[in-house]
Amino acid sequence: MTLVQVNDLNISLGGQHLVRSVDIELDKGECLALVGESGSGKSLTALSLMGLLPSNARVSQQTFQFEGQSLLHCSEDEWRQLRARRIAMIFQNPMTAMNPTMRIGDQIAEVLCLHTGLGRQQARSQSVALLERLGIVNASEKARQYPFEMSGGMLQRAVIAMAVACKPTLLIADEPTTALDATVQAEVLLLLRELCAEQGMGLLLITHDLAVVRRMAQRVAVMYAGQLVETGSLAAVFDSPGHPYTQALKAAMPNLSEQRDSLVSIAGTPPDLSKDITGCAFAPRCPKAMNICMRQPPLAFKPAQNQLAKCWLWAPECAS
Amino acid sequence: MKKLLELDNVSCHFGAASRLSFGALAGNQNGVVKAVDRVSLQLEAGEVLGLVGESGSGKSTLGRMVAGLQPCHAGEIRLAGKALPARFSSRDFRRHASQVQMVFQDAYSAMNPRMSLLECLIEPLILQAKYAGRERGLALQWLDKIGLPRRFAQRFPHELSGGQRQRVGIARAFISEPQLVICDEPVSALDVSVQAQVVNLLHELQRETGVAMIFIAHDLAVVSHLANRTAVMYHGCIVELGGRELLLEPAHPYTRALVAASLGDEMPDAALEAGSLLPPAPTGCAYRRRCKQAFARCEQVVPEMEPKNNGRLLACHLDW
Amino acid sequence: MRFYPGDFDALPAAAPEQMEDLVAAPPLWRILAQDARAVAAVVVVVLLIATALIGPILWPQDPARQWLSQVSSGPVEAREVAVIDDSRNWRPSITAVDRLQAVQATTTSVKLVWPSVSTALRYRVYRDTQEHGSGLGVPLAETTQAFYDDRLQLREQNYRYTVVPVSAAGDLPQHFALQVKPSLTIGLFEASLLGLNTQEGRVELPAHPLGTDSLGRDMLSRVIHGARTSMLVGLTAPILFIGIGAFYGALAGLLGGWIDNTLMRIADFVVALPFLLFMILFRVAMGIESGESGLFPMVLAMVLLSWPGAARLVRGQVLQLRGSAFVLSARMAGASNIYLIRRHLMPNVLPLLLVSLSFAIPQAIFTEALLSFIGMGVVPPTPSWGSLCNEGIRSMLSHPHELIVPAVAISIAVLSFNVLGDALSDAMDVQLRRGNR
Repeated sequence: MTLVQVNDLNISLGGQHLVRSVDIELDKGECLALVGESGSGKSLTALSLMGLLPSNARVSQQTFQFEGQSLLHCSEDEWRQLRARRIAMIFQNPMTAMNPTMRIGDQIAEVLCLHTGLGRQQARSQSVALLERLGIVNASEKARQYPFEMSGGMLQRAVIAMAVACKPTLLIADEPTTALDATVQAEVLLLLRELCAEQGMGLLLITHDLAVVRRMAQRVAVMYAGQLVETGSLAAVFDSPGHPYTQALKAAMPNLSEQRDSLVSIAGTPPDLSKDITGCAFAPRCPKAMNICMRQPPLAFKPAQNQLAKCWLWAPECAS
Repeated sequence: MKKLLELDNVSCHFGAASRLSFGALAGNQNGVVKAVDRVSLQLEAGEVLGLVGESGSGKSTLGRMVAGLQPCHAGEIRLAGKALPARFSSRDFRRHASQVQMVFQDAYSAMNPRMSLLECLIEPLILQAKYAGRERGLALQWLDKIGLPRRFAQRFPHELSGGQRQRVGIARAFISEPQLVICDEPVSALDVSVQAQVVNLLHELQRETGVAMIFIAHDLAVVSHLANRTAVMYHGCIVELGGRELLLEPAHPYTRALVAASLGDEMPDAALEAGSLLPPAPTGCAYRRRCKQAFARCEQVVPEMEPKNNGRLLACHLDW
Repeated sequence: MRFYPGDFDALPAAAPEQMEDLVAAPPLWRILAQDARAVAAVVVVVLLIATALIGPILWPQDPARQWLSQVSSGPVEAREVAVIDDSRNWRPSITAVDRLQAVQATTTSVKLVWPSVSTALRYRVYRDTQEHGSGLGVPLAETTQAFYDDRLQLREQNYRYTVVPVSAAGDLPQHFALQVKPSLTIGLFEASLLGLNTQEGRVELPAHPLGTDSLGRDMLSRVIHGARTSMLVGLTAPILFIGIGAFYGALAGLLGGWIDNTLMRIADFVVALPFLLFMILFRVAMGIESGESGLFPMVLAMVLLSWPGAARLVRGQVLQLRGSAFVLSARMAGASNIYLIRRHLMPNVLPLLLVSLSFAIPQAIFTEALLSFIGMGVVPPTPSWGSLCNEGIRSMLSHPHELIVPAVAISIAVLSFNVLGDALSDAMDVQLRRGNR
């Protein structure tokens, strides 16, 4: 069953067209990974799902359905009702996501009090239970600590606890483990996956790290220069990437188990988003670019089952 | 082969200078944090040593000690047979400028925002006063070498992209032809595709100039791509030191946990150690609280670095 | 969708690598030039400083010279007036008149003659400035003779004179009245006092575009000379204390350790000292009496007590810069401390100092005005904007221009320096933010 559906999402900010005609669809209990490099518009897309775009951003979208209800003309009050209760978000840096002057436990309890109407005492004991669930030993003691007394991994767990406290149906995680150490990162990801399975949450995971995607996602959407260039199931996108950008991204990841003489890099830099792009945005950097790529924006083609790639290479007319 | 760099039981402590530090107030035992604790290491000319570990393991501090940016509180650092002073004066820096240089993590703060790119590249040459008259030509040559057009010479740091800035940082380190370059997480702030470009550049330059390199990173894949030898640090100590194969066949439980966490492809959930939140143990083996194989001896005796049969150095009581 | 032949052929080999071409950030002055308020502020500041420097040459009137014939006047043009010798006592040459007559009507004196009344013992002379008032006005004199020479603060305006004969029984009903507007003249005595050439019998009186004050001094010239005092204090004190503070702060930040600690505790101590008290203390210590100029102790107190702000600012900046990677990198390249300060620290601290300077200047101008207003600054007749306000406030209701003119000058100066500082800090923000992705 569809949890979120957004069609033709466009976001402009400060004269730059940063998100260009993006479609997002996410089912209940599913994990969709939004992959892209910095500046590809993935974070803005996520913020728009939370109704948290900066006030000077210009947004337009064809449809915006959440749990069967249209959010196209949602007021700020209605958004406030939705956030935390139905949609929650985890940010990259746990240090800035927490109020530095409040105890961890109180911050989680506050969210519970506000949105579930629990009493102060109940909320507090529930927040301790939540911290315990997230693998924090000595949770009742840690709940009395301030953010600066905790390590990054511990704090990110507290942030996750705060996000899932009201059992939202959609969790948006914006680079949740980028700031964490490798061993901590693996644990936090595992926890996130367990929580989603437990509560049937849909997870929109935003990351630039393909290793994280591989571990977490069922479906993958790859963004480049504000556009979705490829979507599909994890297996399809990973094992036989259809778009040259996805292929290059995969090749550029250094791999521990595979030694190469030099890493594959993508020449050039992303296009200037303050201008219109004729043709395919990736064409100037694409090793397989064809004449048509410079002229016509590519349509979505189906290289395989469960896979869509916006690339002329997959057009039936393309001979090779 | 002659040893270029020898570290002999070097240590660096924070908070040792004043008793009344914040560490002491926060209840840190006797207010001293051992950032680097009795580390011994050798590096041959032209060798690339990868230094991996999680944040707080002391890998950056060790790099800075070799560069003279951190005082050496105990032990001795010898460069080309000559002992370095424990605390560098600006005369010491000048003496070693043509021997050791550094590439910083944050390329943006590594350039004076009010100096043009050319001025930034010329500075080390002028300060060494042995390139009289050739500074400008050399700097422009290096611009070519790092793949930036010469018209960028008059640009300022904020007019460059992240990858371009880091290339300038690398050129600045290599331009005075040092024997040893310390790279402190040079690519961890960059996007995947740019990261590959920078790693390739470093790789090429290293092969071309035959410089020795200490490559500090938390990304094991990047390290295994560049390094001939790898050292794994935990809590200020090197726990494992070996050749290229170290990250493929890790021996120390901590290295194994790190490698397991980095291998995104194989979903090594079972191999994951739990309890990455546990702090290092104050006595015995620092890692024993997180180690599944810890036994009685680990609690009492600090394991020393010992050579094992495959030419590897290991600090672990387990029998290998 | 239509396809053309060759659409699916590969592009010609290796499209040239496109380097991202960012727009170069403009230099500071160009950002400022695009900011209308910055341009306005710069123009006004330059004008103010130019006024203080060359104003007295362009408007060479002595601010201390009193034009007693033109006390508290509004704006007047330059004109030629007669010199009147009024040194001797006057007796009218004609006495047979049939009504009240003015033999002479000048601002030096108004000479009145009227027919003598036989029953009158004496005459009372009244003067009124209201043309059609019901009353008689101010009684000027009682005289037994039928003429009177009025020399009491005459100005160029209408006067109504009334002469009332008084008999033994009291006031007689028969009054004489006369409407007179004296013409502007200058007495021989005053003219020679001012050193004017009286040979021709006429002298040139200068213009007063902003009028004169209650002592007949030219307002424009006083405001220009006041600008000198205010700019002197407003520029020297901030430049001195920011310079000292910057040096002190840089020293503390660079040396670090216990030296830094000691230096900054001293700065903290200085912050706690009360400014006004110390200024008075300096006055007393230097033996300056209440009638002498207190400018020097004022500047001294400002400099000695205001530097810690700049010191803290610079120290913080230096501490931050000292640990930044580019300074470490320069150190590793073999840079000496002097080189670090010159090439890396100064260029990054200087813009900040410029901003704090532009905010300190209006503050100092205001302090000077305040202290002169309460009589702690310059002494008469030296003008300063604050003391001008102080003098002007006494005649605020009758001659408001004497207060408004210096008050407007202070406001313009303070505002323009503040706007300049604002624009400067904004521009520097823009410069560093531009293109920083």
